[in-house]
Amino acid sequence: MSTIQQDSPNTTTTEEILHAFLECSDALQDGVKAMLRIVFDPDTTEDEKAMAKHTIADILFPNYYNGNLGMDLEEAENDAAAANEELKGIISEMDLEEATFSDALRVGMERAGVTQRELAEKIGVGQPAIANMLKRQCRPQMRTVVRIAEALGVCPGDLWPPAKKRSVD
Amino acid sequence: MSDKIALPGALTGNFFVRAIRPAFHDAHRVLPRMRDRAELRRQSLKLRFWPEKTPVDESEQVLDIDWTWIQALKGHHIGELRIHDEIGGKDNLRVIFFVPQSRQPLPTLWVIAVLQKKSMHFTSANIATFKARKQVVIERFYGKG
Repeated sequence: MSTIQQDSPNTTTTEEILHAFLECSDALQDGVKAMLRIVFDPDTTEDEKAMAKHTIADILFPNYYNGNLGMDLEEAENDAAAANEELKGIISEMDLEEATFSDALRVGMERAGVTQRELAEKIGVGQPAIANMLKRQCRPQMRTVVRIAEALGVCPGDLWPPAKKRSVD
Repeated sequence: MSDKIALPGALTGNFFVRAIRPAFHDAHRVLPRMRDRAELRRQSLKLRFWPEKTPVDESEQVLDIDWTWIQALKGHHIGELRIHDEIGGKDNLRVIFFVPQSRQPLPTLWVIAVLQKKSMHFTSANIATFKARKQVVIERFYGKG
């Protein structure tokens, strides 16, 4: 009996694949066919082929988490961190970076005497971006940190000490 | 479609942000380091603040990240978040998201792909992949064929 190798060590039989395919709607079957064309096209890249293969796998063998398709990104972070010490450490570090930035931003704005709206206008974002950075709900891109630093007349490193490390990594 | 929708927790912003399994695989492929994926996840979570009324503009910002609708998929409500920073030494990272027309059963935006964009336009293979993944979401979460 012919088999194909999945991500798990288990194998899936051709019959199971065919059965899964026939269970799909016409639209999803069309999706599988389109993905197979990508996989067997000599001109597509390895990245494109990999994306197509994962799409086929997801169409034929759906993944449900807590009964639903896909995974909530916040939940994914919390669940993964609870099960993985390394990730837990990374998340704590990121939270600390954001908290430090938020405090430095607040102080910098007070010193410069600018409102959220004024700062937002200066750096070309909406006011909610600034509000959420202060609430630690928006991890700024380094581009944003640099723009804020320029607007407040401080060094980027005063706002985000590991700036260098993050951009070089 | 599931009969019961498990609530992922308190809603921060306007939308929950869910990713389908192939998007996680994409992220693993593009960013092998856990820390880099955590960074990408935090950037992607800015989609929580997607405006409640779907923007009519072609491109804008969500918090401090630029986004644009994918021109080749006009009317499909599929956009790209343009990550400006390099993450894990990778530039031009894109998070491809789908904005369903329905806010039921939960206001949710979907991350359907992650890739490093290497040319000006998405390839036809990219476009076909995004369409197929969107179809999975529509049928398997919203129960629409």
